[in-house]
Amino acid sequence: MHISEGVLSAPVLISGAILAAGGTAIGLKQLDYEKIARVGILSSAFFIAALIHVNIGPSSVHLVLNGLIGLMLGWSVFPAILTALVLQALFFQFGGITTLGINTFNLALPPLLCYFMFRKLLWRRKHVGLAAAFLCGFLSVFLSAILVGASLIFTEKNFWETASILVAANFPVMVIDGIITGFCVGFIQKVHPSLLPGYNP
Amino acid sequence: MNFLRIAVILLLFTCFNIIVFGASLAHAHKISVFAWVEGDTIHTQSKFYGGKKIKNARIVIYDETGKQIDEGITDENGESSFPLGVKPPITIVVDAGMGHQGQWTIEKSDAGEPLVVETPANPPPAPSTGGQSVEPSFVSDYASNGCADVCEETLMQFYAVVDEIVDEKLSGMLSRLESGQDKQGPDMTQIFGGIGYIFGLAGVAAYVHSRRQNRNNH
Repeated sequence: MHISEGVLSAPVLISGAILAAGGTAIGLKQLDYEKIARVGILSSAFFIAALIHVNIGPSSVHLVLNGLIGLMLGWSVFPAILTALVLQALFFQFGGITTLGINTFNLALPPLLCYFMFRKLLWRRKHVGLAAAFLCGFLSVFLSAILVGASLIFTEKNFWETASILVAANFPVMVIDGIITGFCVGFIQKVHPSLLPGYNP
Repeated sequence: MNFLRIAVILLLFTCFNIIVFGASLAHAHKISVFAWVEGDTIHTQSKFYGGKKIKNARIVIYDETGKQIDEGITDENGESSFPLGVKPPITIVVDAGMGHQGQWTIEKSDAGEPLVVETPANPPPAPSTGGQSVEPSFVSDYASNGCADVCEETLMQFYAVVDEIVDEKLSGMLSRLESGQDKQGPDMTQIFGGIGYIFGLAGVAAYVHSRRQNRNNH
C-alpha cells in the first residue's frame, strides 16, 4: 500500500500532497482535547499494523487497520495516518518522504468515507452493527487498493490490471482487517461506547 | 489558532527528521535489490522487506548516463543474471509492480579493474630485497629458460584461474552477507521508538492545548 519513491510523476505527487494537506488541516481543526490521546494511540496502532505481514498470495502485504482508525476518528484520521507514515518512512523505509502526501491520501480518504457511511449503522441491532464494522474495515482497504491503482495509472498504464492485482493481493488483508475492526467495535460497544461515533445513551 | 500551532509543530518535526535522517533517505525503499559482478556476469537478488523473495519482477539495468542497456525478469528465487554489457557504474532497478521499486548501483570499485598482465620481459620493479624477485618460482623458471611467449600465456591462464576462484568465493560470501543483513526485519528499538515519538507528539499537542485553555481562563 505504500508507494515507493521514484515511481510516481510530479503532478500525481503534488496533487496528492495538496489533498492530504487539506484533509490534515480539517482533521487538526476538529481535534479537540478529548481526541488528542485517541489520535496518538490509534496512530501508533497504524504504525505497528504495517509490520504484521500476511504472506498469502503473490506479493508481500501487511495489515492496514485504517478502517478502525477512520471509524473512531472521523476527519482526524488524516493527521493520525500522516504521522504514522512519516515514522514508517523514516524507521522502516516503507513508502518515502516524497510520496507521503499521496500515501496519506490513499490510506485516509477511504476510512473517512466509510466513517460517514457506517457511523449511523453501528447502533442498529447488534448483528447489523458488527456487519457495518466488518464492512468498514473491509471496504477501507479495498478502496485504498483502488486508489493506489489509480495513482499508478500514469506509471503502469493499464489501470484495470494493476487495480485487480492490488485488490487480489490485499484480499486476505481486507478480510482480516474487517474481522479485527468487527471485534474491536464489538468490544468498545460493551466497555466504552462513547468512543464510537453516533452514540446516544 | 490551535490547529495552526499543531500543524506548525508537525511540520517542524518533519523537517527536523528530514534533516537528521536526510542522508539515509536516498536509499529508502521498501524492497531491496542487491547485485554483484562475477566474471562477466551481473547477478541480482531482490527481496521484500523482511526477506521474502520477489518472483517475476521486472529488472532494468541502466548505465552511467541513465540509458537502459538490458532488462529481464527475476526467477523463483528472486534472482536474475545478465551479461556485463558496459563498464560500471551500473544501476539496477527492480520494479515489483504496485508502486514497489528499489535500486542498487554497482560502483566502479565493486567490479574490479580488468587485470593487466605483466610479461616477464618487462617485470614489475622488485622491492629492495637484494634484487630477489618475488614472482612465483615457475615464472622465473620460464623467464630464465627464455620462453617469454609460453610464460605470458601461462601467466594469463594463472591469473584467469585465480580471478575465477576469488569471484566464486566472494559471490558466496556477498550473498550470505546480504541475506543476513536483510532477514531480520524491523528492530524492536525502531518499533518502540516510533510509538514513543507518536505518544510524545500527542503529549505536545495536549500541552499546547492546555496552555491555551489556561490562558483563556485567566
